[in-house]
Amino acid sequence: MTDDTVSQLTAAAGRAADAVGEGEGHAYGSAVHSAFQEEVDALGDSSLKTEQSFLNGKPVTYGTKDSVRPDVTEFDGQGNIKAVYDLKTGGATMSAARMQQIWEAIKVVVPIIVIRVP
Amino acid sequence: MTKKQFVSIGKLLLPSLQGYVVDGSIVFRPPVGHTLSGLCFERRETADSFYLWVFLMPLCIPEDHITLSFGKRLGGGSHSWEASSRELIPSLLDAVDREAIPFLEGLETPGDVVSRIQNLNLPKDAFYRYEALGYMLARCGRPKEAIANLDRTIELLGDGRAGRCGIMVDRGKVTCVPLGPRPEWEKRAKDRAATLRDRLINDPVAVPLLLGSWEQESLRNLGLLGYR
Repeated sequence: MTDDTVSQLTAAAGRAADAVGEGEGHAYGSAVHSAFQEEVDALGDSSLKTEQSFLNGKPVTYGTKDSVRPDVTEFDGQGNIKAVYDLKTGGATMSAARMQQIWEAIKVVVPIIVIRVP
Repeated sequence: MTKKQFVSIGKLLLPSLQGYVVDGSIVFRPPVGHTLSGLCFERRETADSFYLWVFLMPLCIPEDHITLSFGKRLGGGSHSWEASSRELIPSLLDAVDREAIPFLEGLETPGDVVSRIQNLNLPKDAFYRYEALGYMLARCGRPKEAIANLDRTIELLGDGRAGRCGIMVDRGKVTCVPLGPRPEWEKRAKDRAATLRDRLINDPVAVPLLLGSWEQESLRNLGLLGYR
């Protein structure tokens, strides 16, 4: 995790929110998340992977029962997970249970960074 | 994207994949023996796009879902494919030729799979690397190497959580969150590795039967018994 990555992702969240426009509720959150993923992919940073699901310490496909999918997973050059980033819109917060779920699914205890729309 | 849509796209890739079949979201070559290898479609939240993985999955580690520890998304990183693109099939066929076929070639024997996993660029401390090597080396009849890899698996699945915290950062504020107990799946994976290790030492004749039953379990769970 670096300040640069956090800044890049926060800027991407800002662009995603601008693209979606104003709104609230679940549909708005989903739209911003989709736009955010597109923005992150467009950065072309091979260390940042979007939409990667994990279960029991292994990568799995989206929708696998009980799997967890952080919004962005950051890897180092050797493929180790360095940090995960979760986008939150509005006043949403991350529960302790959700954090445990992420750490259990990815197997490694790395920092979880909440990205907020600036 | 639905499984039906994936089947339609998968069938259009078969001319490049001699002997392969499509079943749901996977494309693979029967008969399926020690390892499931092929392509796997992964849907995205965006209705019209998907990821396509090339992967291999040793089946003697019992699983009830496809794992992608030994695989990659075609096109690299977070590359996804638009189902409505006119260029979809030519681009996919090109990616299959360039990226998937070289990955899938030469995986005939358990020894081939061992060599492939050893040569993949995987995280140094990924337990699943040692787990797969331990199980597949046992299947190859190379007990000494299998035990060394199972020892490392057991070590990496050890309980290092007691008294530790994880970090969460929100709005610049750092919060330390005490870790919960070791997850059940880690205990199960560790116990299973220990069982195999014990059999390799004390009852080696029983090892092929044990691994065979785990392969059968994976195939049954994945709905692929008919392709054995």
